[in-house]
Order: sequence, then C-alpha cells, then structure tokens
Amino acid sequence: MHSLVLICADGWHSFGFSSFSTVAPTIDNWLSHIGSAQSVSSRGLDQSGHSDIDALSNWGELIFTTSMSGYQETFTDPSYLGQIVCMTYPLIGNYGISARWDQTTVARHSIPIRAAVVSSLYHGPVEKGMISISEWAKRRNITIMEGIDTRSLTRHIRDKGLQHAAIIRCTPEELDTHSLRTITATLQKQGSMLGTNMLSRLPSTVKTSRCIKNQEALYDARLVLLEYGCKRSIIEQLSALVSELWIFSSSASIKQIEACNPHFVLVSNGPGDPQPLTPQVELLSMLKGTIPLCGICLGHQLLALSLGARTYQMKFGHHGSNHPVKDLNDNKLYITSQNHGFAIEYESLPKSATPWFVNTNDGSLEGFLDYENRIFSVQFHPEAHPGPRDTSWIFERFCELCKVSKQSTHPMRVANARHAKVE
Amino acid sequence: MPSRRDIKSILIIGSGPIVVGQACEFDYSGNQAVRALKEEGYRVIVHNPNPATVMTISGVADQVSFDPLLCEYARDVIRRTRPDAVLTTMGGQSALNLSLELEQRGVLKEYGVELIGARAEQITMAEDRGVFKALMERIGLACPFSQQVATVEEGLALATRIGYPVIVRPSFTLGGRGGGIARSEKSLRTLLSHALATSPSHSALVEESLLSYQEFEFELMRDKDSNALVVCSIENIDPMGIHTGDSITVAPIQTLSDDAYQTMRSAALSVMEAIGIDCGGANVQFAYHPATKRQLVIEMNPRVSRSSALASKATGFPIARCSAKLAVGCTLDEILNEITGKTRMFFEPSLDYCAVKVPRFEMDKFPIAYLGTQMHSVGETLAIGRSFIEALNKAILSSESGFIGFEPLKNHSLKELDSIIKQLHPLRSHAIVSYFYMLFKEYFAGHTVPAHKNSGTETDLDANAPLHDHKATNNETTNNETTNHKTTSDRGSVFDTFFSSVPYPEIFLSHISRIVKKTAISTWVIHHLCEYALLLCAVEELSQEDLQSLVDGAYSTQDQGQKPDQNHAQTQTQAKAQARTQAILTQILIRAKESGMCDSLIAKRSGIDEELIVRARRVCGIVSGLASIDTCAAEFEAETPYLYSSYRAHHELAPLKSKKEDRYPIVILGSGPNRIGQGLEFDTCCTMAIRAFKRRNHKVIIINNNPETVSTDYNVSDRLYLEPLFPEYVERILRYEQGDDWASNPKQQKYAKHAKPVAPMSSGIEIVAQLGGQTSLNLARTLTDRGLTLLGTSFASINAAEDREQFSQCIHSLGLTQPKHRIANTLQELKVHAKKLGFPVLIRPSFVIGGQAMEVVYSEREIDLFIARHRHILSDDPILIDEFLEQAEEYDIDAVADSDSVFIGGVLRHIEHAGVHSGDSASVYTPFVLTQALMQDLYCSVYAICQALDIRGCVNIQCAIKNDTIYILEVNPRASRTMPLVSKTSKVDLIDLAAGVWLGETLAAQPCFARYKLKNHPHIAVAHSEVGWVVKESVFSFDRFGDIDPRLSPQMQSTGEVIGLGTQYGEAFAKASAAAHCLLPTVGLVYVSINPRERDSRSYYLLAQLNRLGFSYCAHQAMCKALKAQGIACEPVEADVYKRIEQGDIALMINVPEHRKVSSRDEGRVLRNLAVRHRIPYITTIPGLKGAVEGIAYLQTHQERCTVIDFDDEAYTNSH
Repeated sequence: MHSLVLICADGWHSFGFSSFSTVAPTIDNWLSHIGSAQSVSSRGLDQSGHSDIDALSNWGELIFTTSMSGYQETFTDPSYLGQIVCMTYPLIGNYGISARWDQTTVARHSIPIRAAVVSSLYHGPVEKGMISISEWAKRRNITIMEGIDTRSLTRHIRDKGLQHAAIIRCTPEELDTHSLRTITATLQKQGSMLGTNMLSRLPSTVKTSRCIKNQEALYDARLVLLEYGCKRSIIEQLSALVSELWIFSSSASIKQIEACNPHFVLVSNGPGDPQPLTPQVELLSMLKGTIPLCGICLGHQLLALSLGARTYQMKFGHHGSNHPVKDLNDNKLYITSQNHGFAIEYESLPKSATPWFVNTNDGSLEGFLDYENRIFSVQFHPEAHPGPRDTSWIFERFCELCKVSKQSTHPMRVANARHAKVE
Repeated sequence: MPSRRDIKSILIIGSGPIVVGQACEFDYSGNQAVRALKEEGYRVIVHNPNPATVMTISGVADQVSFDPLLCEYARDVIRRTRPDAVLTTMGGQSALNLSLELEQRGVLKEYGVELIGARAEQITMAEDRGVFKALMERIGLACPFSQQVATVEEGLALATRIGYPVIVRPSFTLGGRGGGIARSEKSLRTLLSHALATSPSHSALVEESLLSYQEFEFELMRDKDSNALVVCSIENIDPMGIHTGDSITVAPIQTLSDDAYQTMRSAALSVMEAIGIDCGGANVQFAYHPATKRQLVIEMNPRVSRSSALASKATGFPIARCSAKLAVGCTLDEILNEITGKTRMFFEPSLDYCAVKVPRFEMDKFPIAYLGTQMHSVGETLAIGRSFIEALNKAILSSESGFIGFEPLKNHSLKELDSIIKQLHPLRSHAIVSYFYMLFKEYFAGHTVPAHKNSGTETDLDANAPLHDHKATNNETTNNETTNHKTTSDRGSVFDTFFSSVPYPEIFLSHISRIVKKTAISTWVIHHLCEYALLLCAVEELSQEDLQSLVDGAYSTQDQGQKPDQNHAQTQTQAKAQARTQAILTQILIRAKESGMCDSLIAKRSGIDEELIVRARRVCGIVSGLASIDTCAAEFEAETPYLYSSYRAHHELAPLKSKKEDRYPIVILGSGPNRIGQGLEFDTCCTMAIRAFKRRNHKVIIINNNPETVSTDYNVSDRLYLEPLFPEYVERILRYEQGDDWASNPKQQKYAKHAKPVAPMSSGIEIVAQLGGQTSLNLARTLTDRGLTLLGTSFASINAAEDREQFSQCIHSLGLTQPKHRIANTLQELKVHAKKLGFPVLIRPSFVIGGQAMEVVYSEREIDLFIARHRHILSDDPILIDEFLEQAEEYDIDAVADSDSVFIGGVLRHIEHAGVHSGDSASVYTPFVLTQALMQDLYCSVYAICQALDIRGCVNIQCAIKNDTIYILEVNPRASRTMPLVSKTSKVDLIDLAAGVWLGETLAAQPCFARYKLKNHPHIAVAHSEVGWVVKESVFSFDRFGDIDPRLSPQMQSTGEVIGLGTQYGEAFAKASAAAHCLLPTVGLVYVSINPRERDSRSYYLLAQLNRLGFSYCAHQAMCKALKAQGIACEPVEADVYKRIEQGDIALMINVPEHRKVSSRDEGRVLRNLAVRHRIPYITTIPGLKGAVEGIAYLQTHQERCTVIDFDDEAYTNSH
C-alpha cells in the first residue's frame, strides 16, 4: 500500500492510497520535474504531446463525473485527455475490465486520463475473461487513487470550479507546509484548460485515413469522420449506419476530404477547449456550405466556432450519464450522457442556426440546427458508452438531415450496431 | 402544461390492513399522492379501512372512508363523494384489483368516473401472464419459457427441450399446492403425475427454472409526453427464487457492466412503453444469467410498490408524489425536484453511496425453514454507506434482529454452516461470513484449509492471479500460502495477511468460487463477505493493552509537549515498534469502522471495553461524517437533503439549531423496522408529532431507518437521519446537532485532547422517546445514562412503570388492584408459585417483546410442557406468573397527562376476553357496557396512576374487569398502537395534545379539555367516539406461514388492523370483519366446535340466535350431542369435514379452543389451519361469535352503506 495525496491548486488536499504499485512520483520527484518546468501551456511539446514529465508527474485538470456505471468507458474516453477524473460513485471496478469496452481509438495502450480518484476499488476476483481493474491500471501505467472521500472532493470542485491538481506519493507526515505551498504554487502556474490545445497532445496513431465498409448498413452513404479524439462507440454506431465510413485524423486537409467526395462529414468528440484549435475551425469554415456537417461534443463546438459563435469554459462542466435535455422541436425530453467542460454561448449563435437541444438543468445549449449551412450538431453523446442510449436515434437523424438515401433492402439494424463488421 | 382541469376531485384507494407482502409503503405513497394532488388544487377522498395510516389523519385528505375495500362499499363511497377520477396506483395490488372490479362491474361508468394512473387495459395487460408474454415477444424481449401440459409425456418432452431443472405448477390449486421443482426426468415424472392429479383441470404449467439467475429491478417513470426515465436500479443479492421482499437488495446495481446495464435499462423503458403506462411509475423485474448474459423479463407492476418506496428513500426521488402529478397530466420537467430546489424531476438520480435493504423476519413467531417465492418477512430496514459492507452492516444493526451488526453465527460447525448456506435460509449471509471466519481461524491456527478445486467443475473465477501478482512486490506476506501444510509462523500473523496487498490468501479463492456456485450470489458479494470475515479476525487480535497505550501515548505527548526524546537506541527501537503497533491499530479501527462495525461489535469481538475503543478512535481521528442524500451526487447544492453517517464522509450541513431562536430542534426517535407488535401505528404517531411540533414553530429532527414509512419521507421533518436506532449512531447525531462535536473534521491527525474519557452529553437537545414503541424506549435507557434529557415523562417514571416491583408498589399504594402475581427465579419455582396462585395462570418470561412465549397454563403438567417448549429462550431471567382472569373483560385506555390533569382519549373494550394479546384482540370504542360508577372508578384510577407515576405525555393503560373489580394489568408510558385510531375517531388529536404537554402547555387550557371535562372531576376529561360505533379488528398473515395455529393467544401474531364504523354495533362489526378479509356469510352451513369449558348458556344462546338467522350446523359427535340437548338441530360430521371444507360446503367455522397451546396434530388446530387456507371465515372466541351474530343480523337486513368522514367539519377545526 502506498500513501498518496491529492493536492488541488487552491491548497485543498486529501490523503488516500493506492494498493498496487503506482507511477505517482514522490514530492521531490514531482517538484524537480514540474517545478523546474515553465508553465506547460507555454512549454513546447513534441508532436505526440506526451512528454516524460507528463507521464510521470500525475497532474492535470481535476473533474468529477457522476456516472454510476461504465468506469472503463470513462477512463478510456479520449475527451478526458490529461484530466484527473474523480468518480462520484464510490464503488469502482466491481466487474473488472474487458477489452470490449475500451473507448479509446488512438494508441491502444495509452489511457487518456492522467489519473483517477475513487473512494473504493474492488480487489476481488472477476469473471473469467475479464481482468481486475488494479491489474489493468498497472499494465497501462495509470494511477488510481483510493480511499478518498470523493463526495467532499466533488463538493469542492463544484464550489470552487475547475482547477489543476496533482497526485503525489507521500504520507501525512511527509507533507509539510512548505512543500504543500510549493506544489500548489506550481499547480496554479499551470493555468487552466482554457486556451490549451489538447488536441495536439492526443497521441495519434490513426494514419491519415482508413475506411470501414459495411454492405448491410442502413444508409447508402459515404461519410467522413474527422477524428479529434473519437470514442470507439461513435465509430461502431456509424459503421453500422453508413455503407462507407472514412476516418480522417485531425491533420487531414480539405483536399483529402474533398477527394473522398463524402455525402456528409461528422466531426467527432475530443478533449479540451475548442478555441485554440484554429486549423480545425478553419477547415470546417471552408467545408461549411459545400458539404453537410454534423458534430458531437467537441465537434459541435468547433462547428459553432466555424459559424462565428463563441465558446466559454463552464464552472465544472457536465460529466455524467443523467443530464436531461429537451428537443426544442417537439419538447421531448431525453436523458443523455455528457462529458464537456466548454459550451457554446447561447446568444452567440448566428441567425442561420436555431437551437435544437437545451439542457433543462442549466439551460445551456445542447445542440443546434443550421439548415442554411447544413450544419447539425449535438453537445451530448448519443453514442452512450457509458450512459443511456435514449438518443441513439440522433445518428439516423443526422443521416436524414443530410438527406442521405436509405438502403431499401435492409431493415433497422441500428440496434445491432456494435456487431457490425469492422474492416 | 398545468395539471388537468377537467377533473376536480380524486378518490385514492388505499391498500387496507398491513399484511406480509403489503405493508406501510402504501401509506407512504398514498400520503405523498394526497399531498401532491392537494397541491394541485384537487379535492381528495381517501378510501382505506386501515386506521393506523397517515393518509387518513385529519387534515391530510378532504374526506375519508374507513369502509372495507370491497366493490359494494367502494361504490357507495363513489356515490356519496362523487369523485371525477380514481387514482389506481397507490394502494398496491388491493387497489388495482378493486379498481378493476369497479370498472368491470360498471360502477365507474354509472357515476362517470375515470381511472387515472393505470387504466384497466394496462392493468390487465401487465397482470395477465399470457398477454404480457406475447407483448414482450412482440417487442423483442424474452420471458422465462413455460408451457401448459396435460400429460406426463408432454411434460417430459418439454423438459428435455428446455433442460432441467424445471418448475411444475398445477393449474387452479390453492397456493401452488402440488407443485415443485424437478431436477431429473424421474422426479419430473412423479411430480407431474401428482400435479396433474391434484389439478381440477388436469393440467399443469411446466416452466424453466431460473435457479442461478440474478434478479434486477428498475423503477421507472413516464409522463404523458412519453418522457421516460429510470429512477433507480436495484440488484437483489439473493438470486431468483427468493421473493424480492425477502432478499437483501442493494441500489444502485453493482455487478452489471455499463453495457449490460444499459441494455437492461433500455429494455425496461420499452416494457413500460409497450404496456402503455404514460402517466406514472412502474417497476420492471429482470432475471439475468451472468455467464450466458441471457436477460429475461419477469414481471412488471404498473403501480408504486414496496420497491418504489425503497427506491424513493434510496435516491431522494419521490416516486409516488411524481406519479400522482403525472396522473393528472403534469410532465416530468414541470415538477420541481424539492430536494435540490433547483432542478426538475426529469433527471435520473445519481447516487454517490450505496443503499442496502435488509428484510426482518419473525423467526420466533413464524419459524421459517427456508425462503422461497412467497414473501415471509414482516419488515425491512434501509441503511446507507459509502461501501457495500458499511451499508449492509448498518442495515443489519438497524433490523434489531438480535445481532449487533454483521456477526458470525455462534456454535455452528463448518458442516452445519455449509448446509445453511446451501438452503435458502434467512440467515444465509451470516452463515457465509461465519464460514469464512471459521476457515480463517483454521488457517491461522495452522490447520489444513482444503482447496475446493476439485469440487464440481472448474472454477469460474479468474484465479490466474491478476489478484495475486502483487505478491511479488510485497515483502510483508509469505509466498507459501497456497501450500496447506505450513505452520502458523510460516503463514504469518493475522495482521500480515490483513495488511498484505492481496485481500486474502489465494486458497480462499476456491472457497469463494464454490459458494458462488452453491448460492448463485455474485462473486462481488461473496468477496466482500470473505474480506469482512478476515477483518473480524483482525479485530479479534486487537488487545486492550495496545489500545490503552495508544490512548495513554496521546496523553503523554500532550503532557510533555514537543520535548525531544533522549536519543537512546533502545527507546528509539521501542518507539518504532510502538509506532508500528499504533499504525496497525489505527488501520484496523479505520477498516472496521469503514465496514460499518459499531463500537459494541468491535468491543464484543475483541473483548476490549467499548469506552476504550471510543477513546482510541477519537485519538486516531476516526469519526463519521454526516453526508447528504441529494439525488445528484453533489453536482448541485441541495436544499432539503436528508442525511446518513459514513466513515468515509465529511459533514456538510450546519446543525439545525437556528441562531435566531437559540433553540435546539426536537429529536424524535422512530420505531425502526416493522415487526409483529410494532408497526405502522408508531410511525404514524411520529408523523403526527412532527406535524404538531411544526404547528408550534419548532424544528424537528427524526431518526429512523424503515424505508416503508412516512416519517422517512424527505419533507416530513426538518431533517431526517436515515440511521440505525442504536446508541452509538443516535449519540453521534445528538452530539453533532448540539454542537458538541468532538471531531468535526476527521483529518488524519492526532487528537490528543480526545484521549480524555468521553464527556457525557451536555443537556440541551431534547428527545422524544415515547413515540417509537419499545425501540425508542430501550434506546432512551442507554441515552439517559449518557446524559441526555427526555422530553416529557422522565426516565425514572418510565422505569417505575416498567419495573414490576416498583409498579406493584405504586398500584398498591394507590389502593388499586392488580392480578395476583409472583416471580419465579428458577424454573423449579414455577410450579410452586403457580400452585399458590391457583390454576389457570399466565406465564411470561421477562425481557421479551410482543408477548413472546407468553402462555396460559391450566395444570402442573402443562408447566412441564411449557418449559420443554421454550427451553431455548428461558434463561436465568426471572419468570412472571400472573393469576389468569378467566373470562374477564379487558380494556385499553389511551390518555395524555400533564402534571395536573389527564385527558382520556378513549376507552377501548376488547371484544375477546383476557388471555388474548391486546394487539390481537378486536376491540370496540366506545364501550357502553360499563356502569356509570365503574366508569368513574376507571377514570379516577387512570388519573391517580398518571399522577403517581408523574406521566408527562402519552400513556396507555391496560386493565381487566371481573366481577366489578378493576385490575390494572399494565401501564405503558408511551404512545400506543391505538392512539392514531382514537385520535381519528374521537376527533381529538392525542399526539398533538401530548406535543403541547412536552412543550409546557397546560392540558386544562386546551379547548378540547373544557369540552370533555368530567362534571365531578375538574382534572379529568374523557373523549369518546364522534363517528358512532368503532370496531377495531386485527388482521393476520397466517396464510403466509404453512403450519401455524390461527387462534388468538397471549402472544401477539397480528400484522395489521382495520376498523369498521357504524351506527350499530352489528354494522361496525360486520364492516371490520369484512375489511379484515373475513366476510361474514348471511346464509349457509356452520361447522361448530366449542371447548367444554365454554359450552355454557351464553354460547348456546348465541348459537340458537344464529340458528334463527337461518344457519344450520354440523359438528363432531360430542358437540353435536350437546347442541341437540339444547334443542338446536345439528348434522354430525366426522372425518369427512376436511373434504367438505375443501369442497366449500362450510360457510363459517366456529372453533373455540382453550387457551392452552396445542400440538400441530391437534384436530382443532388442523381445522383452523384449513379454514385459513381455504379462506373460510372462522371465529375462535365466544365474544367474537357474539359480534359475528350481530354483524350477520345487520347484513341480512341492510344494504352496504359507507361512512364518510369530512375533515372540514367543525369538530376538527375546533380541536386545533
């Protein structure tokens, strides 16, 4: 057992432990790496975005998710890149880990989250074919801190807003006022996620493009998916839906996309602030009007930016599986899975766009329709995983909005999306 | 969109009396519904014969009818109150059935009433298994496979196709008689041929067995715009085959992956959509096979249920309230989430804790060998914690079932435990822990712990050691655990194992796997039980000396300040060793507390003084935090949260004390889980008191753990603690609420100042212990020892009433009479004393609740039998022997007293004579049979007793009258079972009066006191029934328990009660009987057998009267002869009586046994049992017969007519 401490930039800290060997550094270790470095956002990063310091130093933006199920889907969701995820549900790891549920599509063995904070981790035996979460964390080299009152932590984040935090290997005796102060000072210097280009840090393994074909798909369409940190379940849903799915990495050029001659383009989810992603916004601005565009989460925000809307950083974001949204077309309500720390300013939407979905808790914009520019997008995650599948129909709606023709011979197959053949 | 305006008034049908399987959760939901509908501006009428309910309290609904839940009466209620709609979903199955009947018999059409909530077609669709199954198949969901067969061969062919085991259910037999499980072709052949023979239609259902399937439940809501959501998901710890009411359950679902969970969730929503529930809640149950991932829909309830009450309490989502609002056309996004005060009800609660429900069984009264598909538990408790085991432990502690938390069973060998584990025994989870516990003991003693690798097939668990890989990195554990022949030293100590990086030695994996196989309980649960067993072992290793030095050490550091130690090498090593010991101690204490062990349990297991444990905990800073249930996992700030304690939580809310008023809130101790003798009535008293205090602008806190109750509703009190009613937990809350919180920020620092002995609680905060029945009184005893003050009657007075000797003295000094009594200190003394008193005598062991083992004996021989029967519970405690007042009239008096006056709310005369527990006897209010003088005597005695005992608040006095002498039997200085009933029918809220007394108001100054004041005694007021005759009838759940004698005895057995109101005694009696499911016949054959002692002129007179009303008799020879001698015609029957009962020839059974206990082979008992099973009305006492004769006479001459009470009439407004 190793004693760990979670330290927030504002000095709030709590002790916990990890019951397996962990990559968390000691105080000195941490200070020598991070303390000597400049603010990360100003520090040049290599193309892969993953420096040794990052891997070792266990710091990042601290967020909480209220989803009670799907810890593995959460930990592997690329949208959480570089974040320390606090699970509000206290019992994590109950049924183990299965390769089937991984959401990361990039770099199979790298875990997007920086670390996880849980109340208790299950260390018992798991069913055959699964591996225990501690074993998994060890293999993937990620820190899972246990033994924390995650509710207090959550309340702290809720009240004080998002901030950086670090997980360091140390006992209560070792943490003196001086080192605590030095650590918090260092964390404060890191600034926030706001303005940080997280996409550049995404370890990309997608070649420029790959293609999935499905003869039995519901729609006879060619779709380009712009992969900005896409969840695997989006690809699974789409590949069951359209006959030809082209996946392009974030560096794809407009030429490549146009060469593909797609019926429409879907911009995927992804990590962090959309604002600094200028090349991507520019790309979308150019595509706008020529090809129908759809978006999910980060994709939705990028599309809004390309229309001239503004985004803002939320106090602590929406992360969970129980977010209620209202479809403004028919006033129907849906429970959705969400994961975003940024949102679009409602008022900044251009005239051509009309709000589609709105969050009934805080009134924030959850989707818009722009028939003029043929842009349709949602902020939440219709692909679920984790979370409810109540809005999985959105994918079909995208196809319909983009006026893609249905394959007449085949009945509904969306329900079996996950079993679709992936080339 | 606002609620519907085309309807103005709504009738809510309640669920009637409390029986096993239909308890007070429906009062909770009904009450929420009434309030929700009143908020929307509707006139609300409640129809429920259960007098103990909150939904029938004055001021809740506009009008109430206490009439039986029968179509005829309901029709009259509708005729009189003219509702526009009937809300069907609030009263359980009873209400659904009645609603359907009203629809089918055209009553609704006749009066232009519509069903809301669930409509007739939806009810039938969900209830009709065939229709339901077809519907499920249409939407692509699977149901368990089953098929009707008419021949054995057909059945065998079917079984080969679906695989063994199969379940056989003969068609149209009572209570599933003749059915069973067949595991092989051979057993199926026998079973099926028997079943086909038993079935009147010669057919049987062959169904696939779902053994080893897990059971999951979803609580859903859906509104008229088809917005649907899942409120709560529940996982049953026990697999399919055990009724969910008898299962330990946990919310939310723990062992399903997101993938499996979401598949099930979507399925649940589509079931609801298919049935067409579009304005309310429902519950869908699934069976799931963890290995094959097969998912089956089991059933769907289109109404609120026990599970929905549980789900509401576990999540903070008021399902009944929302259902009611949806039923009148609101949508989910229009209803405010009152818990957060910000968000709307369209959201799925996110839990950041784990809620565990534990059923409570009455093993002593209704012995249960094993559990099955029929529910047996009488109550339940809910506990919340940050881990499963913490919540489970708290729930077991709350259930007051004789365990102080999750303890291993005493004195069982591994083999015996194994056989308990195999059966579906109620104590199975305890047995599993005991099994592992003993295994660990053997392991640490160096004995061989057999691996179970070769038992059965290969293990399903992944033992190829991701779990055990860390061993290499850990130098604390030895690597030889897998070999079995090592000595203790090789295996290391308990601590070594406990602190190793693996949860337990690998050898235990095979045992876990084996138990998982045997019980079909999930690996996840069994793992926790195994881990807990190891923790128990570690706790037992704690030593008094080490803890003492830990506490002393904290003292000395405090004394010496920061003075540096002298650098002796020896002291250094010593200090190191000490530090290590302390670290171990601290860790074990933390783990024990985080696993929900209470200090008493730690003390019991380790043999250390409890106080030392408390001090050590404080030194280490191990204290619980009080966290809130806020529906949103802290994502939003909550406004009306309720709280639970956990050792991995921090305080969130300030104490409730408002600074301005500078007054502490009043704390009410609830009554805990329902049980025989302590049920809904006490919770209703608590709720009434909360109302009364709120009316006086006092803040109220309630502590309770029964998820079925109104008092645990989030907005009834100012603050709710969902906690065990156990001294440690209650003290924690009280200390916190009065700001005397010795460790409000449990950071892991040393709290030297806390090493001091625990200071008594400063007085200030006051608790009410009179309302929660015996639970709260017992709790008060411990709490007053720790410095707490009781509101009202002092503890000394309570003691004086409860202590037999003091009580006798008091009665004697007042010149009152008591039955002669003696105390036997040994079993031998029993006979001596009994002889001196003269037979028959009433024997009752002390320290038992609800009259357990209380019996009337008529001879010395019977005393021997008594001893033999109860040897297991008779300990060294003295046994009380009372003169038994045969054929005496018994009375129950409910009163409120202050220092100078007494307000007698009511005198209830028991219909049965002495010898029947007051909770079981029927009674009548107001009794007009006493002479004026005797009445006066009675009132004055009550006054004298209250004054002598210095009663402040509620009191219940029981007395018997024989030959014009008043015998005082018992004084209970607390609210009684009948107080809600008396309050409702006298229209004087007794609890409100009591609350006034507690806050220092004078009784004599109350308006109602002046109204009812006696002319010749200025300090006594006596109220009476304002609604005519009131008959209270007890309701039993005998049909749930196979072999039970349904006669009345000194031992309480009833689960609920009903009342009947009428202008005549006969009317009230007939209604009460009907409401208690004993429909008096108006014509037919009566089987009669009366014990020789009671074959007197009185009984013959009654039998003759019944004869004149047109009934004919049949009886056994002796009785027959006796009747003929009285000139009453009677047909002799012998053994053929059984057949005639089964054929339904007998309309009424009069079977009056003696008070003595009889063996299960006794013929009278067999007959009574048969009557229960065939639902034949039966009478077991002569006074009961008298009532029945009057009731029958009334029924023969009158139409069913309802009595409706209007709550806006003057009497009510005056009394407040």
